[in-house]
Amino acid sequence: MKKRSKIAIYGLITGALLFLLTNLAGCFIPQSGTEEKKTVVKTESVKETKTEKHSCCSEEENEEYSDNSIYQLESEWITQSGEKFSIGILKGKPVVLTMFYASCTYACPILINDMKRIEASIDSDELKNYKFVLFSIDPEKDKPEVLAAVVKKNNLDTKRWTLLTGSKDDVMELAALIGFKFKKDEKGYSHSNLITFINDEGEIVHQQVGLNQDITSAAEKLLSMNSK
Amino acid sequence: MIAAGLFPQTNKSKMVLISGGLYTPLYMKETEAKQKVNAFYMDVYPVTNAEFLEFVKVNPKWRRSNVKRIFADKSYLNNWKNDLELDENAKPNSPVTNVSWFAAKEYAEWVGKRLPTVAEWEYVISSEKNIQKISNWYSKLSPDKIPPVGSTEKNSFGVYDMYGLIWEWTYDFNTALVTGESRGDSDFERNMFCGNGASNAKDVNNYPAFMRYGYRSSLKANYSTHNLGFRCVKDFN
Repeated sequence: MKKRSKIAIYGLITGALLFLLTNLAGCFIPQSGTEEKKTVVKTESVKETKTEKHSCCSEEENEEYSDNSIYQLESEWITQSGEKFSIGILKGKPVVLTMFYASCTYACPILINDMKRIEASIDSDELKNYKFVLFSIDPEKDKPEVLAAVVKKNNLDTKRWTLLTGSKDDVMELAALIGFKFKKDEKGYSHSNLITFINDEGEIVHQQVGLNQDITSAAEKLLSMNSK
Repeated sequence: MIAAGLFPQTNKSKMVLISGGLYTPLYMKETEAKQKVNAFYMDVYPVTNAEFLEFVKVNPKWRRSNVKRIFADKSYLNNWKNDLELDENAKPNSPVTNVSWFAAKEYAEWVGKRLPTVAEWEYVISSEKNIQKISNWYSKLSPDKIPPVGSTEKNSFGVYDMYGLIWEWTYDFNTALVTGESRGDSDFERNMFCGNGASNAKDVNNYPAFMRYGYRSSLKANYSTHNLGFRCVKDFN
């Protein structure tokens, strides 16, 4: 009994010290098993989970993006050549983007064509200042090699064009963020026909709804976004 | 005790097992079979202000004054007194509202759960056969002081407050593809959405389901409003 109560007291003191430490140390919380540290243990396990996606306490990282920047998502993707790609890499140049899936036979080819028409409307010496990005909503099927085939089929210049595949959850977050709707059905997906224009900070400045749209005003907006 | 360390084991975060079954989506093609919903655990009650307060205490980036606009609009938690204090219109045991989809999703992940899919949520509410009861609530305005969780109906699954309290976020709210002039197969819709032809509403009498469907299609992920909250679910296996 005596030994147990000693252990209990030491446990409480350790717990109290840890509690103080956690309050001073902010996000870095050591392991603890005592009842009072329920909150602490929770944060520890959350931190472990969250390292996969976001980092809960990387305040410095988050400060490099503006409040309205989609790069706050900090999601990780894979390109058509199998390379890792953090969404924040896009920062620094205006981006024209859409979400699509490779086996889409109707709208997606038209959307890609619309983006190519926008690309073609820009002077060739200005082109290096823009990026064209396609995010797949069908990560199960759209592996890098499938995306690579889309690049080839559409004759896309990979100096400017990037095709990306990622986790289902990251797809959902990006879609939710830009207001892109999509729904799986037995033939593929029903989805928005939406081209989004993003400035060099990652903020949405314009969205074009529909297919085969007049790209003149879109192209003008795009050119006006380039501060370089 | 191990579970207690993983997420708050308060009375209000109790879950109940929802046995799997077949669900009839509101919009379904003639050729489509009913959807199968696998068994899952659902929160008996919506997430409360007290629970959400615990979340923002240890997740400062989700506090009202810190949150990024892209993740939550300016009405985020605006019924709280400040970052870490509730208020008259945000009682501890009332459902947390004025939260965006991103905030709800983060909370769910923080407690080791997730947001329910539309199919899961609709499957659970479909146990309520009295459509008129639901309809009656939808025709009322929500009060400023939303009552505590558990103060409205319990359904046959043992879940409370599926209607009568608040609207609720779902994981895939953005699968609701409708336009203002939704007429199924119009040229306008074909231009807005790439789809596989018209979907027809299965049950034209289920007015509350139409309302929910329309409501979801109007939502944006960073949106927050005074009668929109959420509850969590967890996979069965």
